[in-house]
Amino acid sequence: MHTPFLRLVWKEYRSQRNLWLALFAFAMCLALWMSTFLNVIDRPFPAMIVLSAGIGLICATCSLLYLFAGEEDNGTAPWLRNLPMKTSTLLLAKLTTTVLATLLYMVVSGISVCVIYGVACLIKGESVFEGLQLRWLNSDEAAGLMKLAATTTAFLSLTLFWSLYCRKVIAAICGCGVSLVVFAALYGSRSPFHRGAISEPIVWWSMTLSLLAVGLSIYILPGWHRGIRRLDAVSLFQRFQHRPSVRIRESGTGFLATRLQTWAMRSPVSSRTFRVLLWQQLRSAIPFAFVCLLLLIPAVWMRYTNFFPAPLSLLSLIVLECGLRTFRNDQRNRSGLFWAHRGVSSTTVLLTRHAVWLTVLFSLAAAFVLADGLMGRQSARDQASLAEMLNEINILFSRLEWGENGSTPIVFLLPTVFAWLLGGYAIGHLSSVWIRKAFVSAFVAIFAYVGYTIFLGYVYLSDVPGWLTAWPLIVSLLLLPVITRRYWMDHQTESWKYDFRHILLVAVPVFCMWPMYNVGRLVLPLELFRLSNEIPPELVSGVETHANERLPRNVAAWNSSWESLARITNAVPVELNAAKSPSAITTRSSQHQKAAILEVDKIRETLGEDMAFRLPEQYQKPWSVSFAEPVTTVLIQEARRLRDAGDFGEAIQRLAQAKYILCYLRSEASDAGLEQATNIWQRVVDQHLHELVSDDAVTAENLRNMQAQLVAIAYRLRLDTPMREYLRAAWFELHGANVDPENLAELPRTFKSMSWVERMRFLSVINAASAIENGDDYRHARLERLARRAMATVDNEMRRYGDSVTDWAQYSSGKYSFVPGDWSAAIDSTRATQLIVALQIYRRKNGQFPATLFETEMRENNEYVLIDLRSGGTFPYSGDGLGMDFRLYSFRLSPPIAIQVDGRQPILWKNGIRGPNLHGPHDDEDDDEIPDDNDLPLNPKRVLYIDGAREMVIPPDRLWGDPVKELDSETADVLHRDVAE
Amino acid sequence: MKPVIQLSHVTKRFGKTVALENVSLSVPPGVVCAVLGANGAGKSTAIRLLLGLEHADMGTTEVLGMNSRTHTLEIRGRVGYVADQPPLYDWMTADEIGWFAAGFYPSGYQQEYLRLLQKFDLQSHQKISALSKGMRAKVALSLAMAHRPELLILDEPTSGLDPLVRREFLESMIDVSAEGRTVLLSSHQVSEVERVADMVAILLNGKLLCVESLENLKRTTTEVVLSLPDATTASPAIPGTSLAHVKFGHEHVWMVKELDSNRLLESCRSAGLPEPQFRKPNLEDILLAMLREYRRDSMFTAADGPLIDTSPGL
Repeated sequence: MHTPFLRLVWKEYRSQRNLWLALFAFAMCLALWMSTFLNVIDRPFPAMIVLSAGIGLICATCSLLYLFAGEEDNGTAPWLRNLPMKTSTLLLAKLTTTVLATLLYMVVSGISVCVIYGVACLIKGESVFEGLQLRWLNSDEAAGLMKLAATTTAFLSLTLFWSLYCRKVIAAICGCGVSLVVFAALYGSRSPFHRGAISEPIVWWSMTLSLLAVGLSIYILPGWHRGIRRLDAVSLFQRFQHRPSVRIRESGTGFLATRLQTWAMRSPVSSRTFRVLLWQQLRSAIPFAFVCLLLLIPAVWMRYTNFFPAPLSLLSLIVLECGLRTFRNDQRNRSGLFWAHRGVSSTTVLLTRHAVWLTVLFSLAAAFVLADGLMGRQSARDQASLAEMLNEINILFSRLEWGENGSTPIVFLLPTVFAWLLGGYAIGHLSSVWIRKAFVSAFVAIFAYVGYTIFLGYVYLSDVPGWLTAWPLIVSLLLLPVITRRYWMDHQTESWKYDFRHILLVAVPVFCMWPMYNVGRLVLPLELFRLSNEIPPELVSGVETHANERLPRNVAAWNSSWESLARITNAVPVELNAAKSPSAITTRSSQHQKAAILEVDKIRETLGEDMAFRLPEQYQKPWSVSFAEPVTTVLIQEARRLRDAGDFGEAIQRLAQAKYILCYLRSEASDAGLEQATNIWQRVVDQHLHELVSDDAVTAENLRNMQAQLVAIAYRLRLDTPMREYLRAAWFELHGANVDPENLAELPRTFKSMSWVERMRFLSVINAASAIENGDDYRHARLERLARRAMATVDNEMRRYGDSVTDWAQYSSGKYSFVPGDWSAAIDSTRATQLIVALQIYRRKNGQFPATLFETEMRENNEYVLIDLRSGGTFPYSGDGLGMDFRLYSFRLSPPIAIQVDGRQPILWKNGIRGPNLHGPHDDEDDDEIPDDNDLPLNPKRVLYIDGAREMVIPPDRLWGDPVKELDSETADVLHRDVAE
Repeated sequence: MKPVIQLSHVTKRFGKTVALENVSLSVPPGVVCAVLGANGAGKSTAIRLLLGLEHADMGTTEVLGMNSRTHTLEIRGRVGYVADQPPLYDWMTADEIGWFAAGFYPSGYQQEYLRLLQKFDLQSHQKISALSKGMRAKVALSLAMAHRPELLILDEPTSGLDPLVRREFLESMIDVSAEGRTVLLSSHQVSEVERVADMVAILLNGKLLCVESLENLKRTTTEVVLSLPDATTASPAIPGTSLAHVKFGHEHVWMVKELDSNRLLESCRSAGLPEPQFRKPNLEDILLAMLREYRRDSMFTAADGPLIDTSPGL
């Protein structure tokens, strides 16, 4: 500790220690919170580690900013400069402290997070290793990590440069912010870095930027050490930068300045003091507004080219900065005392500040809206609105329908936007009045503004009008400087008494307002206290809430049947694993089969023809138990038993029953996975039907009966599901928009019980999904990203709902093919079954298959059945086969499956890239990898259906799935007893 | 004897503002040199140039025989500097800041620093943030003097201090000079500087008006008051160098250097004018007269150069 280097390290450590400890404590609190309130299944550990590392990055950034700019801000730089030390020693000591502190923080916080997580798991009785996911990084993740490291290095290098270049922390933060925004925009853009001639341009670009920043830092460091600047090349920019933002010139000789001064002095409405004060503020405000307008151009450009929300970010900063600038000059020069000594009242001072800066604020906001509107005039109308911008920060002020209506946004949104702008301004103003250090007040204002934004969202989501909450708070914040005028006018010494009073002055309105409002709302049940009263009635009346008439009459029996079926089949979330060998199939025991059929019959009986019942609530959640596989396998097994027994009519009925229940399950599917399962199992049932109807024992009457049922089933296979409307209704329900209280039972229980934060986030997903559904292609990508971003923040369970909502929205928006692949495959498979039944009827009648499909009765009755949904053309058909043997391949199964088909086999297929390969193996396939051929026995009475548009996950004439698992003894006893009863 | 401070034809500009213009100054060792002048006269700029914190546009600056531009590190090691309202680390204690600074100087620094603290009646465990303005100044002075610098540069060190502390502070400068070390003192407290300064340099608007030993300046300068019969009567020629001339109606006041009083009396008698009154002015009178005269001149014509010979050396 005797060298200058070590003394400097000690000094930096001591000066930054509190910052590091505070952020470390913050990180640990977050980790503690996450480990306490999240379950192992949510895998909080990676998030805890990432969060901790992210806070470490913040620490490093703050530390770098403090190294040089902070030294200047505190006024200690001149003394430090006079110490006899080398410039290199100074730089090395400062950087060493930051690097060591960052590394130390990472290690300590990593260990602490592990310990916290481990203790939390032990307390909750969960396995520590279950949520860890410890493994080596794969190549993609390693590349991502490299990119992250490169960009982080670039950012920190830029921070070092700004810390050296700017003499104020605030200016350095602004520099960092601008660098970060530009860098993020370039990083996120697709041009030119993603077209790249170089493999990973962002890495090289970041490294170049890092080297440049470090080089510049080293170049200007000697100047910093002597207290002078050496970056002559940018001195012009430097003067430009500092003049509007930091310095307020005491005297001006420019033409504009002189004219403004003259105009201000001639104003008849102002007293001389007022004019002088006004003029003082205008000298600072005009250059500031000018710079903001210049920044507006790239910000709007970024928004429309890269979908980067730069205008919103910039506007947020401007709102705060306007508030902060009302007293920034006084913070530095302590001119409050100056005015007080000249007999100027605090009211006059405050009025002049507000007059100037509020004008600047609203003028800039108007300019932003105007510029946004001009840029977005070629796109959708509601693209260019503050409402849409606000929606980007998850404040749910807007709905798509409101954007379509010209007057509604003004009525509903304008007060909200004003509350947001004025609130930020008031926070900035109060911070600058109360806090003497400019950069501390800026930090406090930023955090308070974030909190205020959340509060505002909460207020509106909770159906509370702004005039009861946000506006009183804003007025309070604006009045507090007046109440405490003695403090800043007389410049009284800071003491605990003043600090305590300040805390009380802010805390009392904030913490008392909400309970008081709720008490008032309970005591005085006035309709006026509801925000939803401001929602135009035509919007409310136009919304169709979810129909409630589908509640089953015998709910208990209905729920019991599904419960029993789930227990009997030991259903698990379906995951078709087609790689399993067909030989692995086992059938259920007769007792299980019998009990399951009993329950299926009950379900079918209760369900009726109109399908007017909902699944039990516990099965309505996404990723819940799938009944597609159990129902289908039970019924297919039953159909096989009946066929073996010679009862072909009943066997067909069972398969039709399977298809019918699958249609029902599809309409009730609450996520894409459940929906996909029903579509796949539809095709499995169809294959069995194709096989069954080829048997001559099936009469023409049975076939016609089957055909009639298939028409009804095809009609049922529609796209829409009630889940989307069901979730969208939640928004209106929350706002009390004409929703019958009984309907609350319709909401998922999770949604009803979750916190307001979760509700807000989740509803933003719904809003975005709704917009996607109705949006055009241009907006789609942005909205989809918005939805995905919001999705990343919602609760794990609600995410499943959100996933399903956005998936559906994408399907119907035209982003993907109009019809989802699995769904079209199921419909085409049903149509093919209808055609095959028609062909079998023809064969029964004429003794052979027709030459073309047009000879069947389908042409007369249901011509659309001849057309496959994907290509829009008719199904290719050959009654006597292709004339040569061919093979079908699976492309994604492991090991690949190849099936040899006889060339004489009658065939019907669906157009697509996977059609029958008449020319040998596929080019991409290596014959060596394909196991022995699996011959399909020739059956000239069966029409083989092949879906050429899909990969062969369901080989013809095969059925497999998860075999029935062994039941535990307790469940088996229950089953035996049930069956016996 | 080699001068401790040597400014040779130094010019420094900040944009259009001329901070120093063709300034030449030489300060020998073992003296207390007071740099006087109005606000914005260029005093702090001159000090920054000496410490190597700024570079001169023209001319050279040398401290202890070393060029300020090229030997910054060595100069800082041998010079003590106390600024106006010295910025110190608020979170350190008086003891800690001494320990921290000791790392940059040869051994013995901390002991001397603690001795100085004791001399100034300061508690070493007190935090800097808890110290008053005067106590901070004492800490800063202790820090600047603890390595026993050959040159002590003080930039308005007594502003804001109470009279007692100020007196103690300035008296300690005499002790320093008595040890053969040099003190360069910039201050507005002319009456108090007068008590300790050996030589005086007066700066105004970047120009050096006067460099002279205080004793010599006071000895050779005389204030002449002459009441003429009426306002139209021509005033007599003043034998000597007139530093300033002020007229109040028919009453004239001159600040004259190297006045030949006999010749003036004779010329007054021969012209039938009343006998002039002579008075020995103090430093403040001389400074104010010079500043007033210079300001009046600069309003009409640009001053061409120093009013008095500013050639180096005493």
